[in-house]
Amino acid sequence: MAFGVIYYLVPVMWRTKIWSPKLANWHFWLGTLGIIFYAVPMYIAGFTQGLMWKQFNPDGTLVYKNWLDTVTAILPYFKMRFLGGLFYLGGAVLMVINVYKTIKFGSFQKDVPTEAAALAKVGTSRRQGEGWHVWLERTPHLLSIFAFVAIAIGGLVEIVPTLTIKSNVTQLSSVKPYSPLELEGRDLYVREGCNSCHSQMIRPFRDEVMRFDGKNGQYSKAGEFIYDRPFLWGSKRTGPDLQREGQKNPDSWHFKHMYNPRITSAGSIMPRFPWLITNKLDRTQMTAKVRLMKNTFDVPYTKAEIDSADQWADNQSKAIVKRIYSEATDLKDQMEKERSSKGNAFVPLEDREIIALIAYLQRLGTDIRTTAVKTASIK
Amino acid sequence: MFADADYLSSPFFWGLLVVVCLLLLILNSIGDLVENATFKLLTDEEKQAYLNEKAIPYFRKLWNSAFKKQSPIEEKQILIDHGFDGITELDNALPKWWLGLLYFTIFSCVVYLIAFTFTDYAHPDVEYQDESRMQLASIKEYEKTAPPIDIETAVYDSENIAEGEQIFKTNCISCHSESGKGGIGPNLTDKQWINIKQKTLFKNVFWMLENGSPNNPAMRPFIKEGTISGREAEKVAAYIYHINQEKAPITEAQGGAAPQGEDADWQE
Repeated sequence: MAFGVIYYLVPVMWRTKIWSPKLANWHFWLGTLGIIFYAVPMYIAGFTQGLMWKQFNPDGTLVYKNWLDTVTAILPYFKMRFLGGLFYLGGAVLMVINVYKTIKFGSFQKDVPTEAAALAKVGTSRRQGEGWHVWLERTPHLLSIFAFVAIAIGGLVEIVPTLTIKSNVTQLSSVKPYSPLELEGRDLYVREGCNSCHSQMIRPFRDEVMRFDGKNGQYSKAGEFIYDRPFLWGSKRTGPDLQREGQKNPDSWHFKHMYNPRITSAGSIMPRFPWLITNKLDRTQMTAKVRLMKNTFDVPYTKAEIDSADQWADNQSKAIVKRIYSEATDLKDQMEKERSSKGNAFVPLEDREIIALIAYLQRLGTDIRTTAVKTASIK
Repeated sequence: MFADADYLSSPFFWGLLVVVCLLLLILNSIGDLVENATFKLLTDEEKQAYLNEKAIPYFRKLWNSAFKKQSPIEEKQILIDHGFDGITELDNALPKWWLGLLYFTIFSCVVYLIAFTFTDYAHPDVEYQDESRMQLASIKEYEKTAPPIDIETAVYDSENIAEGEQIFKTNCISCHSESGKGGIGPNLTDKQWINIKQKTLFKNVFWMLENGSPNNPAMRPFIKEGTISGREAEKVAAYIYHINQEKAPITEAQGGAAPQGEDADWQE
């Protein structure tokens, strides 16, 4: 629509004709083709991957257990989408050239004093037999009010009940608030845009529960997210769902995976996040964040917890580093080397962003595990 | 919707179908009566015009209502008088197929609301319970022919090595690295073993997969938590037997993890 507006208005505003109708036509067809090559491969990819996800062996195990198998299967469609994007962008570039040239050869229409035409006197003969719709269109104020009222009713009906009825979201007693370090890690998760590729909601489908929480697992319950402000359910699964990711992989695995996903998962298309390994974590706002969660969102932190937030985070990060060093001696050696070469400028591993992110990731979905085994069988 | 067609055997379904057909016939007759009555009131000219229009086949009428452009005289009648910059708007009649779809969607909405409120239709949690129940039942059926493998019935079979390797790659290399050379988890290709719970290597691996490591919670009880099945574990154990006993151990010089535990004296 924007392109159409531009192609119409620019010649009018610069009192000329479009410099190259041929280029404009090329833009149109490139743009159309681009959209088709963008959307249709993604339809096909969606069906392909979704059907692969849902395939079961007769003994109840998943056929495509490995997430990466399903991703590899749709890589050709990603490539076609890229081609579509190139076409679309190419068309837009043609438009820029066209508009530039048109403006160059035109002369800008300065403001001309003008008035809107007087409203046509609608005679009674015209008004005879007109429907109420046409009548309403002639009364803009009334139309605006009615439209607003209609939309407001719809909005209120949809939103107000869930906001006011607390019992709508069942509280789960085992779900506890995030620790201060985990809150920082969660903010890193948001900052790096992790939820644009990773969902955090296991839907009530058998294959999904099987894949992300095992045979005796559960789908995600609303009550598990009450302290997630804002929630990170996500809307796309380029990568697997992470809602029950906690304690599935050791801390050093997460460390290596963030540094370069292909170290731990061959064939992964996830981008690297090496700066998380080197950046110092900014904890100046940490206690304020915990306080905000309590004051604004009623997250039940105790006063003792808020006062000891720094100490708590220190203890937690130290424990994670200890685990990483015991699991992966190569990382320990690397850190030692860095410390000796950097001297005073060295930032200890405990103070780096990756530790906070690991804390958050290892916490995901672990609260409900304490009850998961008890509610194993599905009747 | 068609697969589990319980409703085909329901008398209510057929009764409803019969009643609806009767009602449609009645509506049709009423329509004819009304048409006849109003037809008589038309002038001869109008009668002819009406008959001409009626002669057009149904699908052509549908097509016309979507695509046919009106004549210039007709256009004047539907021209809306609020144009700008020379752009005018015609108050065209809504296409019949579009209107039909609209009424159908409104009707479906009512049906859906009633069904959702008073039955379990489209309730995701109930549908999930049903799906689970059906799947568990079909697994039980399957297990009649292929009983689940546990530590007693698991046997080594060299045919399982390739599949075992695939399962290993999905679940195990995050700690044990490719080819089982170890890293976060111990080296699986050497003679030293931390947890010796069974007399044979094969059964020991199966035991570990079922119960997890008593000293390291990172080595989870994969079978008990439902991540892998007994059958899959049998294959993984075959693979690990293969890399431990039939292939050379991956030494530290080659990148493997250092030996941990004691020398294992496996029976065979």
